[in-house]
Amino acid sequence: MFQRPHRDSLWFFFVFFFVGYLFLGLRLVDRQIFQHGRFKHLAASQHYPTLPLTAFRGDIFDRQGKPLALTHLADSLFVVSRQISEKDKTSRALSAKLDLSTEYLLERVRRNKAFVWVKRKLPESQTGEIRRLGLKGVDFRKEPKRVYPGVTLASHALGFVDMDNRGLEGLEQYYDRLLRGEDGFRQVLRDAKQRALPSSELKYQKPVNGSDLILTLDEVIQHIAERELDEAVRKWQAEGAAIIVMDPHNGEILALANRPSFDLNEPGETLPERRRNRAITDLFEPGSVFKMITAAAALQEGIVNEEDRIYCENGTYRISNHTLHDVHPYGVLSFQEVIQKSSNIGTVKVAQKLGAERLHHYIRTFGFGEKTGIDLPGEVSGTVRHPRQWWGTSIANIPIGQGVSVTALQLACAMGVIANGGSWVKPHLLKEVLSSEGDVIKSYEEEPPRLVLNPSVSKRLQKILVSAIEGGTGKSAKLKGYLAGGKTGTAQKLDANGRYSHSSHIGSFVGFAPYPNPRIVVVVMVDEPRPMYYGGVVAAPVFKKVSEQVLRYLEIPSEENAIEMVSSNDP
Amino acid sequence: MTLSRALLLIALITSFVFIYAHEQVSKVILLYQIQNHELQKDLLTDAHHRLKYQVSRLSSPSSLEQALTEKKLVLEFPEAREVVRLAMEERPVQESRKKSFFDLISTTKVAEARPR
Repeated sequence: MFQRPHRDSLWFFFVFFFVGYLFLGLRLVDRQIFQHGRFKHLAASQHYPTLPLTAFRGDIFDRQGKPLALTHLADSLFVVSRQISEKDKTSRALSAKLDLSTEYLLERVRRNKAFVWVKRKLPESQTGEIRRLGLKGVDFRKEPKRVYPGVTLASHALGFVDMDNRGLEGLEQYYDRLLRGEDGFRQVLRDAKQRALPSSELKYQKPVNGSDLILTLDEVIQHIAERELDEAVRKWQAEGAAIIVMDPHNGEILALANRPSFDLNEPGETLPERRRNRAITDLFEPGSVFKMITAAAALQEGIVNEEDRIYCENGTYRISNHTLHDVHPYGVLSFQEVIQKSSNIGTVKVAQKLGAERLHHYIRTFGFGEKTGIDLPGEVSGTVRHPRQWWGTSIANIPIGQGVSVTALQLACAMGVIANGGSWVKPHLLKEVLSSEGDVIKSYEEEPPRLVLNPSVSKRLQKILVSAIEGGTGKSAKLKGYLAGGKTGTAQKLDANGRYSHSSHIGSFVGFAPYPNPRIVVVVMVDEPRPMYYGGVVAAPVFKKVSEQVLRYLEIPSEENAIEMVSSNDP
Repeated sequence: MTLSRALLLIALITSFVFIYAHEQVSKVILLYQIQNHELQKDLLTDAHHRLKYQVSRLSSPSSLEQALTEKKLVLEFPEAREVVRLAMEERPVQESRKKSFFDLISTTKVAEARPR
């Protein structure tokens, strides 16, 4: 029918279309059958995106319900590179408003991605300025931001969170699982302009906000403690300091502070050194403060009583190739005077009568050499060697607080034993956990206290420690209107060669108030004060100032008031 | 007869279609309104959080103390002799009247003193 050239052309077209349709058919088979899952997923992610619903982190309150950590929304800046035509201009404009270099911004803007973070959780002032620029391809997304109204208040106890609101330090880290809550999600249908259609909610999981925490800390007591600690650090040009105020009866921490401190709202701007919670992580030799442990053990074991006479060798005592000295030479002192005047020789003589095993037993029972178990991360246990590892001079060192290392918190707990009638109680910062609706879902369950001393022995020790303030080394800790008990301590720090330094000291004071019904235990530790370094000079005045104010704040009648009240009740 | 029936049927179907379409449009409008209200609620909740933060910041002891220092006001604890202690008078606990179903249908009103 057709001539040969025409037939060839038709064959050519037939083959061309056949191959073309075959190719298209194969592609269709590939797309529709072999790659079905992939394309279905791509279409679904484009049309039915799953939008995350971020749970709000729980708030943290002090024992009076005052907020210490809150969460609100902040704008985070992002760019959509494809929508930005003038990348240089946009980078320069953003650089002028943000504290970021043009090079950094240009690198972000040039990334071939649909979504690139530029700066997260901006302050409101910056957000407003950038919005007013009306830059194309530059937008904001709301994100929960953790804020701390106290700024530096209780910074080491509270800790902080990272950019994604995960706890990194302190209580924020310890109770992260409780505070964090559970994120939800929402799957919706999106239109061609990527807008979610309101009627198209396919799946929904409600976010569960984190639980709120009520702490044992008291904002006012914390402020008092920090203010007085600041003053001491300034006055004595100290490298650092720590203070703990604790209720000895239930282990509730009313205040815990360290110096140097840091701004909780800008934790990244601070050196890690400043973020260290010295009260639970820094070990130091307690020095004379430790004599109260030796005294407690000796009284509990009936080795001595307050009136027993001890010859203090006029200030020089030789023991195992080691000569022990007292700061002031004493002759014969009663046991009470030995502690009151902080005689090393008298204390060591009592410890010799007590023996290494029994002394070690009491050191451990008072909680030294193990973690207290406080609800904070990073606590250390300290060093208390077993008597098998003691050498000749250990019995001359350990009873007076050398050759052992402790934390300020361990000292607070040990003083708590004396102040509360003889029981060791676990320190803690959490009081209650509240649901996001405000209902109490958990209260702190106190562990059964560990009996260390008889109540009568603890009372006798209290009296001895009151005498140490009234007429001993802790005179500058004497309170106005209240009686208090306590012990000073001054310890030499170890130098780089592992020898006792003659220039670096730690001055400390551990005390309770008021006597005879103690309500608070206060530990003050001042690291490398200058030019004075004695605990009685640098730390005892902090104890006095803090205790006086805290007792008034707690409305505990002073001696004068108590006397007035008693006399007004008399017929 | 047949034509009128057919017209009636068409009219009915058309009415149903219009009603259905109207309902769908109303639903979408309502959902947009709900979405806007939710947005408003979120904004107000956030404003509440921000205000709570500002209030707690302003009422923190350090801020108050700073304000006192700036205004050169010195607050001191009063001396014992300056304090007049008042005996605490025991106030009878007022139990709120239990409400019953009959209160809802009753026409009488019971006056209750507002606690001071």
